[in-house]
Amino acid sequence: MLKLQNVTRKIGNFSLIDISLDAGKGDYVIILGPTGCGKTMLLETIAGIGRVDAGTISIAGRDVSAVPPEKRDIGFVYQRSMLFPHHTVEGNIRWGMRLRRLPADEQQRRIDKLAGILGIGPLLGRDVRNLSGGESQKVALARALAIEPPILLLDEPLAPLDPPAREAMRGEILKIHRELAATILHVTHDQVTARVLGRKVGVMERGRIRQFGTAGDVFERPNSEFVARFIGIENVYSGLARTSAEGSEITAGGIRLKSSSTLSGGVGLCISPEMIQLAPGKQLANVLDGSVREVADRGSVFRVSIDVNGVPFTAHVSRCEYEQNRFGIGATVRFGFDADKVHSFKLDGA
Amino acid sequence: MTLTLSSAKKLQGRIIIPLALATGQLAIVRQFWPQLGDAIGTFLALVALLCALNGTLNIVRLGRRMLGLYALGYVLLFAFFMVALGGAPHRALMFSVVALFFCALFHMGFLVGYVIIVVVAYFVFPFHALPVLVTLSIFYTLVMQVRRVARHADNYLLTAFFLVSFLLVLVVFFPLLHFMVQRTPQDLAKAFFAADALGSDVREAIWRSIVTSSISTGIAVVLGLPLAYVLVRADFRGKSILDVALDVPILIPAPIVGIALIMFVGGSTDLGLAVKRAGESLAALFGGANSPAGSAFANIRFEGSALGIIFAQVIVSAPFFIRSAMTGIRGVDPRLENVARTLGAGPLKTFALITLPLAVRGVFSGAILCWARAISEWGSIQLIAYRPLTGPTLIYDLYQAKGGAPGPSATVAILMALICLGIFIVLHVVGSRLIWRRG
Repeated sequence: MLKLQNVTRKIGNFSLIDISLDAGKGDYVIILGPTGCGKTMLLETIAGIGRVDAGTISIAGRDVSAVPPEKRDIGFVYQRSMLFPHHTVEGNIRWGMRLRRLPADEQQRRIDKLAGILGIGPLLGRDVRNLSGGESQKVALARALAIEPPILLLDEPLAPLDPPAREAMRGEILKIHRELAATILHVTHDQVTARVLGRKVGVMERGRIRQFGTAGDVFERPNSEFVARFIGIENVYSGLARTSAEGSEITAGGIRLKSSSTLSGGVGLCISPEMIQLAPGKQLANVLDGSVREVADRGSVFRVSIDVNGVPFTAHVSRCEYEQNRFGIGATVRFGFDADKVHSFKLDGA
Repeated sequence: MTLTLSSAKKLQGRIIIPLALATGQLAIVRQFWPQLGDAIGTFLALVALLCALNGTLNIVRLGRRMLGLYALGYVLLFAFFMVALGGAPHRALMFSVVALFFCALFHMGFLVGYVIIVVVAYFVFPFHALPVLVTLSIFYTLVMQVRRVARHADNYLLTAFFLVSFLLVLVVFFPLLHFMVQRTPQDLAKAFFAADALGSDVREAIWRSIVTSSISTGIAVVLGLPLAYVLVRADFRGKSILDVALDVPILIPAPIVGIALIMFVGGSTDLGLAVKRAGESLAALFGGANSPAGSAFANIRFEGSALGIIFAQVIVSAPFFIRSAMTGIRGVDPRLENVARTLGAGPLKTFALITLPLAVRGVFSGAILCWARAISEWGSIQLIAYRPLTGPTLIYDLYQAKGGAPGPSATVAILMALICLGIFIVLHVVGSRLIWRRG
């Protein structure tokens, strides 16, 4: 449906470099990256706001690299909803349809449908300047969807919302994705949003896509330290892997870990903090002893920092588990994780 | 409803005391101003009764101190009109009017100040009543504003700055204000509607000023709006030079523009002659220089014509429009334009439907400013086109003819200033109404 091949574009001293990605019909693609990595510029480039310097963008097999935005049929929602302040809510939603001279009954049908899905029926007559953040985003979404674009680009539409509104909006977007079967490309810096919504995920760093694949691939098998750290894996080390018939053994910081990865030689490795069990009951491939350095309440989990002979590990422990154990600072704890939780990747530049 | 004894007593006191005061005043007037007669004396007593009732019946709201001030104000007014000014019958009647105003306005403390200003202007400076009234009123209004700012903003710097700005306002506007009230409305109407040659000169010149500056503004808008858009949205080499160049017409003295125009399109320059020849050949096409259509073309030239006036006005006024339009356009988030593009609008539609409506405040106020600057231009116009006369050149002409005495030139000047001001205010009001509705 949407395919980017080696797209390169330079504006001032910032560049998008060699970006390739593809999204099938009905895919939900998340582009995850830190602020300033070029996510918005990538979306604008796809929408046609500015030309690519090299590479091609194609939609449904047609090369649109040189097509102006008004002929690309792409819905676009910015982080700040960018509603037209001189129109009402309804005027904003109708805007694209009016330009396309859709018949009045068709316009009405689409407005009713979108108002139903997004729950913005009561807002239609309102002045857009008096809407809350969540309401504005829904209206911006409705405005983009009213022209029934096959592709919808979302530029962090959830970022300005407070947590409950964000949660609700995620639900609305999923509902729209299901009901309208649109291909959605959504950029965000929030890995929770990425995990909830993304079927395919790309991770961006300084104008490049560092990893692009299915959500499972990216979240379970990051391909670099940057990706691993950005998706929230704090236990990242480098080590030396030796592969044998029953798997590999990696030595990192003087600690030997069994891994089911098959790489050998100098590798990077990472272990998700959620996958670490404290005081493990059953036999695990890797069991370590360490002393507790710090315990931080993160809301749904406790983040426990453990020091093993100078190597720091972080484990996320559920509140329930924490209540049972009550690890004090300095206490010695035993923790473990299975061999398949030790993921290794090639080191950058190796 | 029953009145307790004490409240009934209070009420009686509130009515009896004013009655006593009014009777006392009646006696005093009959004793010291017998020439006023019983009729006026009784009338003044009724006024006193009303004023006193107004005080006593409102005592709860006013409080004793304010009631004292109120009484003092009345006594001072009485002393001023009846003692200082002599108490002739017309003074007595004037006193009654002022006293009634005073009593009606006393609840709104600041309004009393205006009553006093009216009194001072008309009775202390009867020969300069209008300028004194206007200047004192403005002064008083500003002083009250300073008090307000000082009281509400808990920030001495704000108050201090306000006082400084207030000085500037005085320096800038007092000469103009003083000038504006030098003629009565009757003088102005007579000058404007006069049937003699001067009257028709005045009407024509003012009308010509309005028409030429409107055309200049139209040209500045049509050509300047695209320039403003490009300067805001596009990045190109030489942009900063163009940006600075825009200020040059504001910077250089107006006569320089005039001389530059004479040397560029004056009657004896190559371009001036070319224009003349082109006009003549066009006239020939339309039936010769004597036919109605042809004669218009035969006289095409810049020097000494409305075209020259417009040329000069465009040069000096267009930068004001462009600057203001740029500010307006800069306030429109380019992402709004991007969204409009993705919704299916081409660049021109996006500009017309999104950018322009949202920048309308800057564009409209720029057009008004441009118009104002064009109509006020004189220095370059008097060089490139002394005739046909515009308002400013006519005023200068009259001033010179009288050997440098203001005389009739001041009348025309005030007339012109008032008309310009009127149009300016109407445009602003219309504009802000329009813009308020659209957001």
